[in-house]
Amino acid sequence: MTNEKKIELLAELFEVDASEITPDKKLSELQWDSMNMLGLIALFKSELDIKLPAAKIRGFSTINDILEEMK
Amino acid sequence: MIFATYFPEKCLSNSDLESEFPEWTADKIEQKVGIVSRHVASGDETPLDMAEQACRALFQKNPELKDSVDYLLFCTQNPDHILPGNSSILQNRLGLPTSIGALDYNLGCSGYVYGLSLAKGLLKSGIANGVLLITAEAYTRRIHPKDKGNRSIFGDAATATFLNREDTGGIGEFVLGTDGSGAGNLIIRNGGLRHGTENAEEKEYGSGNIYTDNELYMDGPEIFNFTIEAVPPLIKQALEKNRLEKEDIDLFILHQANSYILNFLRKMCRIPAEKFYLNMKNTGNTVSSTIPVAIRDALDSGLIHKGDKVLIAGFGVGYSYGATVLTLS
Repeated sequence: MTNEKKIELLAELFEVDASEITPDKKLSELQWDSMNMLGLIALFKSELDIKLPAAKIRGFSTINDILEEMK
Repeated sequence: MIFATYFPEKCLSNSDLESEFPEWTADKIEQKVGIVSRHVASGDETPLDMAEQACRALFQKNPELKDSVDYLLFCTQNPDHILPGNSSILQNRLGLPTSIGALDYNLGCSGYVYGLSLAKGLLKSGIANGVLLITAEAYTRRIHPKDKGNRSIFGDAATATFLNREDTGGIGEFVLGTDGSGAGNLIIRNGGLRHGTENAEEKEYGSGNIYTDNELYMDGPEIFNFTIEAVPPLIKQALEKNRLEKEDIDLFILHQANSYILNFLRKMCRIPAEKFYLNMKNTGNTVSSTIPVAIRDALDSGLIHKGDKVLIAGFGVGYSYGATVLTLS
């Protein structure tokens, strides 16, 4: 998956413009709530067929943490 | 099979939640979980009281059934007492004969499917001729007032289903599952013999939700992971065991957990929207009652008819899960 596609998917998840999805963006500056955590699990499952355990999600603090996991 | 339902009078709307949690807008709750309002048990109302009301509604509409019940199954995780069980007290309250069998069982969202499997066994083996299957739950009385996540999702309800031997022909083969490794992800930790309720500290989880170990704790992301791993194979196996194809099913009724989870499962299982039941707008997630409530609503609204095949699947606390196919009589 290209980096552009990843950014596009995350922008859609957080309901923001793609320009706001930068690697150093803190998740606390976005809508990082339990529903978006479910959304991220769904995104990983449907787009990458990867299971994302809750403990790993809770360790994410920036967009880069998510992008690293999407590799 | 004959159904009756009961919902407590008191309701909690999204607007009520918004006024308590200003960061939680009513529209956002509806958009995310598909719920607008939920019934909540008030004051000292318990699942036993609610079950009694559901049974009285059943007998009022079908007075002849009262003499036909010879076994009572009561599914709840919130009995009135540690002992005796709700089923004994309900027998007395309803004035059912002392010659009936009665037992409680502790299950949540899979409880109705498990109850049908027990009822089928009792009826087919000749142990019973008429089973009254009760589901009744009041999770809302177990949720911390500052736990906005769980307060947005759960509602209270009770249902009563009467089944006799003829009904067993319409209850298909079962697929059941249990995975206790997930026990801690949906739990009320305190209050049993393992942990007392004293000195429970407030903790924060998810997006600013507060709870103590005396209240309901749900790890939403882990429950979602369990659901998307367990439910698609459960549905596939239920179809295979009943020698049916997806196209043979008139309606899929999955436990109404929340609309986000259900929509994702529907897409994963490639089930057309028109064959997939989704209606929890005015009830919320009523745990073991969502499936019988949905069956009754789908029958009342003409969505399903006599002879239709309905695949039902329950999944949740335990983890526990199960599915079967009903052919409506």
